[in-house]
Amino acid sequence: MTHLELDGVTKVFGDPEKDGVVAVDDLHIDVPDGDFLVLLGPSGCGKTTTLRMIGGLEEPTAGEVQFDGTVVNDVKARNRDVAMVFQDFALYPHMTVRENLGFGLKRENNDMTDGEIEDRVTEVAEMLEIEELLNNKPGQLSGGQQQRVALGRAIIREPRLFLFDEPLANLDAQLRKTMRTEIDELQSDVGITSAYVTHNQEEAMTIADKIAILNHGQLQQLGTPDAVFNEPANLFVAQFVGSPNMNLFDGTVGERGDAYRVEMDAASFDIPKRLVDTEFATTDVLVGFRPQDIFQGRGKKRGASGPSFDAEVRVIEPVGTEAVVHGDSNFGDITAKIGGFHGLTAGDELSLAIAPEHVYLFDARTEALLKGRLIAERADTQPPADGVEV
Amino acid sequence: MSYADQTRSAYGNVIDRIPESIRVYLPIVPVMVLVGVFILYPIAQAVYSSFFSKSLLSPDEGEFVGLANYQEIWTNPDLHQVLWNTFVWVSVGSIAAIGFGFVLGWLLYEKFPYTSVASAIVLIPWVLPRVVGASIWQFMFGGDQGIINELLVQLGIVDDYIVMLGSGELSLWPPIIGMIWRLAPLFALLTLTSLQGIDEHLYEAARMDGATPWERFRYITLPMMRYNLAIGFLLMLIYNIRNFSMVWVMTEGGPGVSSSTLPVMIYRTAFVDFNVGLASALSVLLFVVLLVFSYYYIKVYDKLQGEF
Ligand SMILES: Nc1ncnc2c1ncn2[C@@H]1O[C@H](COP(=O)(O)OP(=O)(O)O)[C@@H](O)[C@H]1O
Ligand SMILES: [Mg+2]
Repeated sequence: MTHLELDGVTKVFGDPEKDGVVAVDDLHIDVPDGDFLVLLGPSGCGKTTTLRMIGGLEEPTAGEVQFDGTVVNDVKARNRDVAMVFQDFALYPHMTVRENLGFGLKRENNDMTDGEIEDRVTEVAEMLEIEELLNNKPGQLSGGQQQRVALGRAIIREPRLFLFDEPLANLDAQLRKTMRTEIDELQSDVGITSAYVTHNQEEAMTIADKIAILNHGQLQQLGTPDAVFNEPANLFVAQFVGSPNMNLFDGTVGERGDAYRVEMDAASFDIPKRLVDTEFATTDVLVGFRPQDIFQGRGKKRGASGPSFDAEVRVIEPVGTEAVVHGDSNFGDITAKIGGFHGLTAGDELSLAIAPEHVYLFDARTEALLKGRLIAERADTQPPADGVEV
Repeated sequence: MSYADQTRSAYGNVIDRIPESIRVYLPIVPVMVLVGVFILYPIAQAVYSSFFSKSLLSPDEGEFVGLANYQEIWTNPDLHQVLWNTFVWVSVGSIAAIGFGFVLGWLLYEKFPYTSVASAIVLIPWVLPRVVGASIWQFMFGGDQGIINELLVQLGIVDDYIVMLGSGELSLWPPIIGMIWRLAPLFALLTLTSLQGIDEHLYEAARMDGATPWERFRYITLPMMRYNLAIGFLLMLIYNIRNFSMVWVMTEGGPGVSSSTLPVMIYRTAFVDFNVGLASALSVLLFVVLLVFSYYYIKVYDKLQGEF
């Protein structure tokens, strides 16, 4: 049980004076005891490097890694009492599953007897339902089974911290979902503080207590899944989180009575001032709305007065009972997620609208968030698409 | 029409008439002929000759003597000396080559910045023509001008130059040292490649599992290398027991038989003493030992292939 803190952690590979690569740049992250932190970001943004610095496999160039307030920068990996699950599992190929699980317990400073170790191995194997595999070598196991052994090897020691580096990336889609749930449950059961790396935003949103979104080694936002979805700190986060991608258009903003007037090329609409927290320091904005917030019908009929427009259906991608619709509108290309049985075909004309509560506004120059997506209690009307949908 | 059909129609008349069970072996006939002529026939010839008393000067006039040549090996004290020399040579030479080679390979892996350049340099003793390498050592150990004697004197280990290559007590050792110098690089390269074959993540996993450097070596490195090391060990045995050039160039197996090993003795018996029968019997003995080594070599090699 550990409170993990990264305080200005920086990692430069190579010579900082010359051609060094800044993999992680002045990272401040605080993970309360028992929390599940997900490090999310595109490939190469420094997630793995961050995780390895927490584990002690990499030394920070600057900044401090703290466990319960104690700086551990100088503590060797093997003395940190941290367990790590690697993307390629890194099981010891020459050892049986039993030996793989028990390896971490066979340390000199561990006073468990052989019998106690054996009992603990059995216990963990049962928990992960791999007791039949104890005498097999990793090479004889399927990907999912290897994953379980890798998890077992991590939990068997009841470490201070769990670190996961894209642990599901090598599994097929079906197994990924099952294992995701299992890791989530496992972590809640044992209550061990965890840091989990992934580039998959859907995985991050389902599993995380807190998400840290990184880009080019810099922290973009640290927040709950709800927060990063509804109030992304900037355009990068807004586009990285949520699927399908957010629709984005240029616009300008001005004041009109107790509302802000948003002018776009093909439409204009008002946003009541009480829906906006920030002062607008600019008139040039990016207007964004998520495909799942677009609904069919004229805005006014629904009591909302957000942007509304006509679109011609170009492509339909059915996703279960929903459909992702790509259409041509007077704004340009637009992506909408339509629920229920829609009966749409290409060429159909649609009337679409978005509630003003759901419209995102970003500063066109700094790309910082000006207005996020408001959830029900602050919104005027019950939004048709409810809550977070990813 | 497929290629197979075309060839069938061209050659079909002849080949189709051969029964299927025989036809499938046709493609390997050329190889079998080569193996027969160049490998099996000489072996059979050696075994056959070992039952005769035969001089190289009149090879057609052999007299059948049964197992007398083998009895000679069993009773002749000179030959006992040779067998003992061979045993010492193979065991000391192999173990030392493995020890030095392993450490060298480890250093190449861990410490040298330009591993491929460094290993190319390290490999020089192995790729140098054998006679050249042996001549260098002969020169260094030689009586009057030998640098080794000079070194020993300088270091105060001996008072004066000592006779090494010409001494019945010492003559076995200089060639062994030369052979260790030749073989250790090979083992070093083998060590290096098998170290490079171990996934870095395993060491990281072991570090996270709390393993000390020694435990990582003991429980990850060594077991992961075990078949490669076993193959290297057998290779060392095979190269050592087959060696001829190092001894012949440095001492010609002398004085007496004091530095003779089996291959040297076979050569001396056949081409100095002209005793083809006894030389053949010694060859058969060497062949049997090599067969045993090779058998284990192939077995370990198969294991290595099937391991991971
Ligand atoms: N050992 C290393 N040496 C040099 N550069 C590295 C090393 N490890 C990572 N990097 C660089 O640091 C950046 C971040 O890498 P990484 O943390 O692996 O990203 P992620 O896990 O988010 O994909 C990348 O640009 C990568 O090329
Ligand atoms: Mg990574």
